[in-house]
Amino acid sequence: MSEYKGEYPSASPSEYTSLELLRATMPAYVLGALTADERAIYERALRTPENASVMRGEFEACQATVNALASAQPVEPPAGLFDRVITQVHAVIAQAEAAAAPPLETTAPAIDRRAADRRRGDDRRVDDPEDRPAEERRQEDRRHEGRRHDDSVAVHPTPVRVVRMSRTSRATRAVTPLSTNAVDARPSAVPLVGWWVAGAFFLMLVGLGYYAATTRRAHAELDGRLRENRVLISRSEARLAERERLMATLLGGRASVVLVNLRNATTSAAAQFFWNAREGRAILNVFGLPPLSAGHRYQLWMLRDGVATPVIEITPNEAGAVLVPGIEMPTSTTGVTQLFVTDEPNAQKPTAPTFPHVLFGTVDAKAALLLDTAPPR
Amino acid sequence: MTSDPAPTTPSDTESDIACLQAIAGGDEHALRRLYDRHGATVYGLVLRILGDPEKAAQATADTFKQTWRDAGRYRGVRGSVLGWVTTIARLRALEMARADHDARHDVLSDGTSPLVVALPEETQQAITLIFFGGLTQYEVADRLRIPTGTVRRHVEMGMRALRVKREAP
Repeated sequence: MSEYKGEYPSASPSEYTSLELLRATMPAYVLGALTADERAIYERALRTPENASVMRGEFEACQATVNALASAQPVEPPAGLFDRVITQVHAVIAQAEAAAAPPLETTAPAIDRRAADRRRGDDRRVDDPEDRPAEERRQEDRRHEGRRHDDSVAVHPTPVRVVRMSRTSRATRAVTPLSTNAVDARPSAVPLVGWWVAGAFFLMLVGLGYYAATTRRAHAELDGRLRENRVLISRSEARLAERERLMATLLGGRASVVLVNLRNATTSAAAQFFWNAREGRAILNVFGLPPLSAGHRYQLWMLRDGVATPVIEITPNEAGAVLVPGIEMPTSTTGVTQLFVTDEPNAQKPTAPTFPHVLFGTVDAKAALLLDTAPPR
Repeated sequence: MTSDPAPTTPSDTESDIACLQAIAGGDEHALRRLYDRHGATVYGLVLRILGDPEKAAQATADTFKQTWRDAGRYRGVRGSVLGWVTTIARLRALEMARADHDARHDVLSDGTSPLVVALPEETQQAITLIFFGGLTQYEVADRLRIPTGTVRRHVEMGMRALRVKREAP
C-alpha cells in the first residue's frame, strides 16, 4: 500500500477528494488520533455512497488491528472483581426500578410489561408475575430496566440499517397509541373519498376535453394540407400527361422530325417547330412574343405550294411564351417551304396573313432528324 | 500477572454473540461467562491506560456494567464482541484518566505494547500515546517535538505494519 505524502483535510468532507486520501486517514481515525472535528468530517466523507462500500474493508482491517492492539496485554483481574461488577449491575437495576415504580399499587405495571414484551418481539409467554418464581420475575424486571438505560457508547461509525414501517404495519400498530381523533374521523372518511373521486373524474373530463379539441384542430389542419396536396398532384399529373403527349408526338413510331426555327430580326421573339412528318403531328414552342393589342391574336401559317394556309391560333401567356403540342400537319413536307406567325384581328376568320410577319422560318426537309424509337427486333 | 493473548476464533465470536443475546435478555450467568472470557483483556487494557490497579478495577466494572446495559445495541461494526467491549473499556478508562488530570498516568513510562515492539521507536511512541494515552495527533506532535505530518506518517506506517503482521500466516 502506498503511503500518503500530503496533508489531511480538516475543513470539510468535500476535501477528501480521493480514495487514497481516505485510506491514508483510516488508520489515524480508527486508532483515535483525529480530533472530534476531524473525526466528524471524516465520518461524513465515509458515509457518501461511493466511499462507504469501498472503504468498508479498509475500516474492518484497521479495526481488527486496533482490536489486536487492545488485546495484546491481558492481565488477570483481581479476585472478586466480578462480584463488584454484579453489585453495580444490581444497583443500576434497583435505581431504575425506583425511578420507574408507580406511586400506587395497580395492575398497570403488569399490563405495561406485557405490552413492552410484545413491542420487543419477545416470543416468550408472558405470565402473571404473581404466578412465576421470584428469580424469574427479578430477571424479567432487569431486562426492562436495562432497556430504559439508553446511554450507549458510540461504537458505530456508519448509520445502522433502519427498518421502515408502514402506517398500518403490525409493528407500527404495536408502538403507536390508538388515537381518539383517528376513531372520531372514521365516519367522515367515506364522503371525503367521494369528493376525491368526483374531483378526479372532473380532472379526467377536463383532460379528455382538451385532448379532443387539440385532436380536432390537428385533424382539420391535416385535412387542409391533404386537399392542397391533391390539387398539386392533379396539376403535376396534367403536366406529366402533356409531356407524355409531347414525347409521343416527337418519338412516336419511327419518327422523322423536321425542326423549323422561326425568328424576328428586330425583336427577341423566337419559336421552335418540331414536325413529325411521319405521324403528321407537330409541336410549337414560342417565347418572347410582344404583348398583343386589344382584339388581336397570333396566328401560325404555313406556305404550301406558294399559298399561305392557317395552321393554328396561338395564345401566349403574359411573358409571351407558350408550348402548343398536337398540331395537325401534313404527313409529308413536300411543298411546304415556309412557316410564319402574324398578328391578326379577332373579328374575322383569317384567310390571308397580314404583314409584317412577327416570326418567320424556312422549312428545310433535308435537315430532318431521323429518330428510330422502335423496339429492337 | 500477564498471560499470552489467545487468538479469537469464529466459534469464540459466535459464543460471544450468544452471550450478548443472553445478557440482553437479562441473564447474569451470560455476563459471568463473558467476563471470564474477556475480563483479563479488559483489565489489562484499562490498567495499561490508567496505570493504577484500583482505577483499572473500577474501569473494568464500569465496562461490564455498560455491556449489561447496551448488549441489545451490539451491531458487530467493530468486528467482534471483544472489539466492542474493549472500545467501551478504552473510552471509559480515557474518560477516567482525563478526569484525574493532575495524576494522569504517563503511558510511555510502562514501555510499549509487545505487539508494537518491532516498530521504530518513534512509531511505537506515537501509537502508544494515541491509543493508550488518548492524545490526538497534534498533542503527540507537541509531546514528541516532531511535526504533525510526521506523526501521521508514523501512525499510517505503524498501523500497516501491524496489519501485515496480524494477517501473516
